[in-house]
Amino acid sequence: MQVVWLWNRHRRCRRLLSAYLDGEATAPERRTVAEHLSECGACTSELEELKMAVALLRDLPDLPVPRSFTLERQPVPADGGTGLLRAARLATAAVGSLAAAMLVGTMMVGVFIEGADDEAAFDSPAAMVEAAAAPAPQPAQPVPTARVMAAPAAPAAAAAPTAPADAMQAAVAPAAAVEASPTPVAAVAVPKAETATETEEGEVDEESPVPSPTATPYPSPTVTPAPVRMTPQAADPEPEDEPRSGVSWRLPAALGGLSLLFAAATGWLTLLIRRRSPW
Amino acid sequence: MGFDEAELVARSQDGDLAAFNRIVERYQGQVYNVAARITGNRTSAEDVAQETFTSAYRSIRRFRGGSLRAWLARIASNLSIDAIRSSRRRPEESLDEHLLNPSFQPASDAESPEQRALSNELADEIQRAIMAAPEDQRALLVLIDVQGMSYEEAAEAVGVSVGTVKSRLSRARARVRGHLRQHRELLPGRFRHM
Repeated sequence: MQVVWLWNRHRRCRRLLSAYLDGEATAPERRTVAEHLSECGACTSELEELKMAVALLRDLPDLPVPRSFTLERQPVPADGGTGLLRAARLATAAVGSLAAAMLVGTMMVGVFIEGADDEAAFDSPAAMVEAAAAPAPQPAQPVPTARVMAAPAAPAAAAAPTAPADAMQAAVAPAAAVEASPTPVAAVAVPKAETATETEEGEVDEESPVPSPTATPYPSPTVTPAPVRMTPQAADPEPEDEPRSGVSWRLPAALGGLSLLFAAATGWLTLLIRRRSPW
Repeated sequence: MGFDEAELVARSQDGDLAAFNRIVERYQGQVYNVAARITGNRTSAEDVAQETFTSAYRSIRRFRGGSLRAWLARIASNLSIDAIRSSRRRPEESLDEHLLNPSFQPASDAESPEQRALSNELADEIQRAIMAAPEDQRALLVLIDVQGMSYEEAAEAVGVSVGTVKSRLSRARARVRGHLRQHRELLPGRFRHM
């Protein structure tokens, strides 16, 4: 233990020797070094060599100035020559920032919308699987399901890109609601179903007489609720013509957006770095 | 004739080039030497010194007092480090061949030719020891040990704290010491016994 303590003090004193030599060490540091020097020959020798090195550096001759560096005429107006450049840099940075902000805003809107959809569709997969195995439930929420039912049945529903996904979520949601009962999922599904019907207002059959929880295009009251894997196909009469899920194209879009954001940030940093003046 | 520094600065800030040139004349030796010792290259040092004063003139309005010497040293050391970095991208340029040329060292009439040769060789080795230090340490070595700045002034020039100056200078000096130990034969007699 004593050896370690001595060794640490020796190392600390070696680091302090330079400042000690110049009288720049603090009073406690000076005391510590002086005490250590009285018992450490290696540090005493090192201090002498440091003195030598400093003396030789100070003895270096001044190099003669090869010519005068006076300015013969004003090179540029003081503070004026870089004004245009500075303005250009600031403008570029502002445009970059604006673009980045717009990009972030667009991405956030997309992610929030898609995140809500995803929550409704994939909130509790276990519940959905269980619901798929269960016997056909009676519609717990007849009004929204009736409205959802109408969407895939309408011929123009296939033209709307979000309709199948929404219909799929609405088809799954009641099943989960039956299993887990009160209704966080069903409550989420309701506005979504309404949104889907609202976007296709002309085509939606609000008076559909079949109050079934299923979203299949075949309006049968005895069809079991769709399991997770079948719902896209069941809800989508022409799946190859439409995106199956928002995630499939929004994820690459989000990644691309992040890349662009990264590029914008890098450009901004580059500008800042290049702005560094020698003074 | 006897303008003080503050007045020269004030007149330079008003666009008086003659006043600014008085400042140049006062500090060009120091600026050139800082640049030469940091870059180790005479041509680069000339460019750096000229650019230092051009930049200083452009930005003199932003000078808010303090040490003018430290302010100029800061510009010179930053430009020197920039010059070193750009010269690394042009490896065909040797950094030290001009500065270490003995004919470039000032001669002293009191020395014999042998002593002068030895002295020049020692100066070369000291310059090599300076060049062996990393850039941040090298600048402090030049400003404090060669130019004789205080720790506070050097800290202002380099833009770091005094504590950082202490630690960097300690490491830089240890490097120089190690380099010179390998060339004891060049040391003056009073140092050879070490």
